Amino acid sequence: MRAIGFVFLGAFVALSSSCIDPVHSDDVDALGPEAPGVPEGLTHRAGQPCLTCHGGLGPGSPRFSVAGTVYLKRTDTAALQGATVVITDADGDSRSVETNEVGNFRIERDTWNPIFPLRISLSYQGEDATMKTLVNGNGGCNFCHRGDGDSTHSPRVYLRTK
Amino acid sequence: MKRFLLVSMSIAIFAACAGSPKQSTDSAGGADRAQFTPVSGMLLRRCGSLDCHGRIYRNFRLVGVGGRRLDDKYYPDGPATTEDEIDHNFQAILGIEPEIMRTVIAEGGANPQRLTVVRKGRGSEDHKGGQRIGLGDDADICLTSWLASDVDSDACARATTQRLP
Ligand code: HEC
Ligand code: HEC
Repeated sequence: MRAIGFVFLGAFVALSSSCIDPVHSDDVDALGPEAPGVPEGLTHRAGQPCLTCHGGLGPGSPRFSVAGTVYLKRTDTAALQGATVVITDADGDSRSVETNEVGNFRIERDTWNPIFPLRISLSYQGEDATMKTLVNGNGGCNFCHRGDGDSTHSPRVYLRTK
Repeated sequence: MKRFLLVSMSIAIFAACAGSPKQSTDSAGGADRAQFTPVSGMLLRRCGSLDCHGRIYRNFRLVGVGGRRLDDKYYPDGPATTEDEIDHNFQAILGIEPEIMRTVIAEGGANPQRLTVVRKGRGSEDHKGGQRIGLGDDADICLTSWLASDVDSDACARATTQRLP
């Protein structure tokens, strides 16, 4: 009974603040400063959630619809350059993008604004990996895929398990 | 003496049942935990990704494989969803509108659209995630058959494994 009351209270609190999520500037600050020597551009902040800054609320511009970082292995931080990421939207429309020397890729929202949910797969020289679940609302891969993973994040996007 | 034994035995049986998952059934006015497992899978798949109801910032929070995990040692990509997680999801759906849920279930699942979870899922009520369940599709049948206390597990399974679009 108490648990239900608690859920109720929680629902109220959440309802009254449902549009805010946590404060955007805190999210940005939590990502820290730029790494020294890396310009603000396509090789910066590999592994970080690009859309936190390039999702329309700043400070990054332009705005991306899909962006992330791809690694060779689940257990290792070596980037995978030249992988092809294929994104298919709810209308069956799809785009392919290549990853760069740090594993990063992005699609600018002005170029393609896909309809969610999205299906994702990637390939590299005959090997491939597919995401079984769907991306329902956030086109930033590293929003969900982070480092070695934990109970709230899947591990980095990778081609090979080992 | 015999009578005493009998009485204490029935109390023991009562207590045993009250401690089982059936207890949540009672507090929910008939919502069936035993039938909920396939529904949990469907909800997780359609609604529970880490960018939606797998986030802790949502009031209706789902957990399990493919989304957020209850156990700190688990990952979104494995191992499989646990019974504890299904319990959590069961309480989560009941906790949205307990009174209306009770009424809908007591009335054999009639007019399920009285529930905001059904309306939001179907996209007929303002929903950040838009429409995730189509009126009359497998996911819809799964959810509404459970509300009618006669879950269509096959529909749930199809809705869980289906590739969208
Ligand atoms: C903490 C915030 C932040 C994150 C996270 C971030 N960026 Fe940026 N990014 C910026 C800022 C700020 C700029 C400079 C914007 C400007 O010049 O208007 C920038 C610039 C860029 C540019 C150059 C744009 C242009 O046309 O000049 C690219 C490309 C880019 N980022 C890609 C990425 C990718 C890919 C990721 C994820 C791996 C990412 N960024 C993550 C803040 C961020
Ligand atoms: C909403 C959270 C979320 C987002 C956003 C997301 N993923 Fe995933 N991804 C997952 C989860 C959870 C898994 C593990 C279960 C599965 O396969 O669906 C996964 C698995 C994968 C896999 C299979 C495992 C692997 O790494 O080889 C690939 C590939 C993948 N994702 C690529 C991507 C790419 C590329 C993006 C960005 C375009 C992306 N994901 C965005 C949650 C997400």
